[in-house]
Amino acid sequence: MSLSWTGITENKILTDSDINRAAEDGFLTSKITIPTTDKGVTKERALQYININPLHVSYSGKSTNQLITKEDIKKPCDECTSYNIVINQSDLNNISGETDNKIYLYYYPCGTYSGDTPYLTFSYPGTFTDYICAQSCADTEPYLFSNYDGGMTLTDSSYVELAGNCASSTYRSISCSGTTVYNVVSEGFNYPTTQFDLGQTYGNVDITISISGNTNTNNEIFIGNRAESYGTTYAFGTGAQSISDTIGFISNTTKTTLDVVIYSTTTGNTFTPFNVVFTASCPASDDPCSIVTTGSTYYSGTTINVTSIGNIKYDTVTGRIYKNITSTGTYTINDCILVSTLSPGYPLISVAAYNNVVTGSSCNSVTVDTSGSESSSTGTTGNCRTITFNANQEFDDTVYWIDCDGFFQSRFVERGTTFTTTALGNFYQIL
Amino acid sequence: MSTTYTSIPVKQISTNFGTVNKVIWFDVTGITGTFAVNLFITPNQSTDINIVIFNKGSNEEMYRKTYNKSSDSSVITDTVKLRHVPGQKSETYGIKSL
Repeated sequence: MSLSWTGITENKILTDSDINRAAEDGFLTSKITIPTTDKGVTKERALQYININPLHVSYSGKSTNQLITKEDIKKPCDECTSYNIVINQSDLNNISGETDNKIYLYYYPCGTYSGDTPYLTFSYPGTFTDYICAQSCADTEPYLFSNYDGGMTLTDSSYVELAGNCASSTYRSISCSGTTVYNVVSEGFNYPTTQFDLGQTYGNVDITISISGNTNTNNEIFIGNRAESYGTTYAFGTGAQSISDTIGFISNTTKTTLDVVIYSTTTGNTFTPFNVVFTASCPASDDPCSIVTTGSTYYSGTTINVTSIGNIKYDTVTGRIYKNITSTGTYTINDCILVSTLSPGYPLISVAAYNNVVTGSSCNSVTVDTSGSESSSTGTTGNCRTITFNANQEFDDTVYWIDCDGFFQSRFVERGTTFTTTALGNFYQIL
Repeated sequence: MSTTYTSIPVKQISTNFGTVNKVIWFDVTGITGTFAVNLFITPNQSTDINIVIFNKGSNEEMYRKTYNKSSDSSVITDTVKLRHVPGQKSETYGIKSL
């Protein structure tokens, strides 16, 4: 006979039956039909059974086949938990006269995760039913406290976890196409409660992020499905930023909302709130005329404001490029690059610092057989485009082109292979 | 038929968000028979890359290959030929980078 979820101690190894009952009682959300055996549950099987936060420290620290305990299981970050609060007169008596006579309940309300812990106070006893809706993966779980003589743990007062997910009453879904402003008000993780509903569990979503007024030094934004760890993160520094990209979204449950999580801290200064303007589009519709891989798009003409000279790096269709920048101010990247991969040129010693990334124009493409004929071509001559040389003739070939920085280049292409790079316009030769 | 060059970056290892895997989607509307997916893989220096191509409707893995980590940044070209039969598979395919 399995125990109820609230009756299981934190250090008990969980069985199939424990997980099954917790799911049936609404404390956890199942993904599949869970067996009712007394077999211990491994880390790997827990993830198959239920929606959890895979980044919870005690869970992520275990090996795949290691058995898990209740303390390893936390709900995913887009869920919240309701609690009954029980304040006992005996605890109020114990602290009477020595403190402010109040019992403090510290917790992160649904939608908040870090920073100074908010609190409620109680100065009279009672059972307060369904009193709070707390974030399920905040820095700390709810706890009761008193300021008596520097602090004491209360013995008779308690909080009781309730079944279900109260986040639905807190999070607000909006159409997948539109713009919203997220206020980054807390140091650490910020989980905006307005979510874009894609209307489906998969798809490629075009997004734009614009940031202004940020003076905090360490920043990263996640977009995608946080619980299942699919998406993209972007690190950024101080000042204005503009990022455009396409995000691949996937959910193995019924979740259709796009998670946006913003992490921000600062070194040596006081944290300053700032705004993130976020725009998303609905998943792209089918394109019946082509096989289109609409992942991240390459852009040419992206500009950055260099504040300290050194190396930057970014990915192009031919691989990772390191560029040494020798002067401060506006620098234009002519290559067709994945803007999301643009970053200071670590692990090189001399790396550049920059801000104000402004995405350029999307790159088009041209494909050339080594017979000299173009099998496909999009875009305008003179712009930086991806170019593919297809050595489909009877001999190996040497191909020549002008790269997007205006330099003459050549490459030997073996018969039966292709070579892709970037080039200006349609100037190329095949010998 | 045109081709758009895009990219699916290697999974990210973020200090703040842990491992972040990638997925992109493409449609093969109007295709009956075999189609080709051209992969241009630049090996990552610090981690192996698992590339998985799967069908959305059947969740069937059509292709899986591990590209080992390497300091050689030469591009590896793989052409994957997949057979699509309308009605047996949905027209949406995904590519994962794990």
